[in-house]
Amino acid sequence: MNSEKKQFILIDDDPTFNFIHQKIVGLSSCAGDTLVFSSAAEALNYLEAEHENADSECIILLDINMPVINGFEFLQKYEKLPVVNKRQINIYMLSSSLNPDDRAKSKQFAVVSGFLNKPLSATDVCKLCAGAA
Amino acid sequence: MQQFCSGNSSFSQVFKLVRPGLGIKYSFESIREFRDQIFILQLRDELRPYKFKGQFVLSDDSQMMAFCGSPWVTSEASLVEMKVNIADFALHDSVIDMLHMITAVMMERQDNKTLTDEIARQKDFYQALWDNIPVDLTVIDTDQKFRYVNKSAVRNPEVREWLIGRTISEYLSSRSRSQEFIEQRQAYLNKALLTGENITYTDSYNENTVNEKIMLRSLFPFLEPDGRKSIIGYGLDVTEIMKSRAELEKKNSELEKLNHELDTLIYSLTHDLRSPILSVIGLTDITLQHANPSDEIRNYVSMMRNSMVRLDDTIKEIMTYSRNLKTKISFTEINIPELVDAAFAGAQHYVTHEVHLTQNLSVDSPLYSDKIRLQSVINNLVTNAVKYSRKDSLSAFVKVFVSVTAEQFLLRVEDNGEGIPIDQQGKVFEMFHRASNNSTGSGLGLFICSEIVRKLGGQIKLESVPLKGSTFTVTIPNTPI
Repeated sequence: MNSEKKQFILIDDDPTFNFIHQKIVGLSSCAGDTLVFSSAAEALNYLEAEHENADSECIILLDINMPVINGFEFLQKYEKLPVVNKRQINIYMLSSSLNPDDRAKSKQFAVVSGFLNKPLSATDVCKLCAGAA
Repeated sequence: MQQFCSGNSSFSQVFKLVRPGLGIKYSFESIREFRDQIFILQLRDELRPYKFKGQFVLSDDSQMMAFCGSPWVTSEASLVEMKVNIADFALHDSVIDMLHMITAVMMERQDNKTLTDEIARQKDFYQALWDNIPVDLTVIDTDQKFRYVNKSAVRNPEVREWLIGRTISEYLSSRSRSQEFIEQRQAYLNKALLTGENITYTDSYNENTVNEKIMLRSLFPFLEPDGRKSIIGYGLDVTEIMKSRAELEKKNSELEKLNHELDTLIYSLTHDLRSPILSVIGLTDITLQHANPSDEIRNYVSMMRNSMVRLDDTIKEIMTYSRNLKTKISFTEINIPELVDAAFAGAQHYVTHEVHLTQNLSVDSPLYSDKIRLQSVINNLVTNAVKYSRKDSLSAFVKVFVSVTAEQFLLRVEDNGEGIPIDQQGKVFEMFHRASNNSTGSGLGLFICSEIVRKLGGQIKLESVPLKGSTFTVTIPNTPI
């Protein structure tokens, strides 16, 4: 059972959202362990280093509006990582942005599977686990 | 008389004055003095020394004198000798005949003078017109020589006169224009002459100085009545127009930049405002669903959550309003069921009782409209209907009816809720107006709806009976791409 559960990686600079989202994901029975990164750089470092070992499915919830490296810049760097082809990773943008340009821009990245609005709900997590979001 | 003298001979060469004999000279003035006397003239022709008797008649303007008389015949033999017949002599008074003839000649001369005067007057008129028109005018012949130049084109009268008969190339060389420039202007002329099309270009003078002048020039080829091709050159000073256009363009691009900056500002402001609100909503959700709070705390946290949702809705409405004002309408094919489902999805959360949501969609044609705007209108009307629905889970309903034809989109949202007081019905679409005491909104929703519908070229209408319910009807033209 445990091996079928998906790992969640949360990338957001806002600690409150990280707390809430970690809690929501943790309370869901279908989700596996949760990793939280408060900056895009940390997440990139992890993904670059850990791709050899990890083989389970993974879902990344990515904030757009972050200091230093924002969500879109993260995506540009992420696309060049070797991990992209080795692991099944689905990236979802998770934002409070109402700017339609942000949605349009996310669609331009092939690695992005969808766009979610904050705050994440338990229903969202179930859908993500079922691969339907 | 013509048989006796050639055209160029003077009077004294042809005739000898026989009578009056004394005191008269061979001059116009002298003959005029003696004109009340009978004259006898003799041809100075030794072979034909014929005599004529008669009198001189003076014209009205005293410029002309005519001799009226007949051959001096003494016998029938002399008639034969002079090769004339009796029939050659007038039957009536030759003096009167002559007067008639003189009058006819005078009238013809008068007519000619009137005509000449009129032509001169018209020439002056057109000359004045051409010289005073605030436009450069030139007429150029096929060989690229100036035939006419008006005052506006060249102010100096000497240069103007010098120009006539000179070529474009000579003129431009005299103005120190480069060979390249001259060749280009010659090419324009040739093109106009060859193709018969109008050629338009601009010339700049004193560039980047305070005296900068920009002329818009056009070459109009025309065919003259004799078949010659000529060109009317036309030049208009467009310096002010070009300057103000450049200024407008600059201002416009500044405004566009400012507009874009404002857009970005609004998006990042709303984003920053919403983040903490959404955090609180997320925290209340965790508290309510997973922290097993007491009923009292559950009640407080629910109220907190509702306040936060309302605040977030207001921010979203302001956002929608600003977006509707500033964003261009973008037509795409609309998936109506998707829009209605999206509106239904969030609506139930606004009330604690259950509302029966039904939809009846009749789509006979693809619908083309602005997706984001249309979604706002549907969301707003459905949310309103749910918020003010009957507080009874068994009977409360919201019915959405949509009909799409090739011509129009019709949306009807009907509820059996509290309705709108008659005196408030005219005001519901006003900005910040809240028609219900139970209103929890910002008073922006229906105002934004009507603004969007208006922008899409449609109409929004309300029918409501207090305590029975309300029906909002929206019609928007279906705009094929």
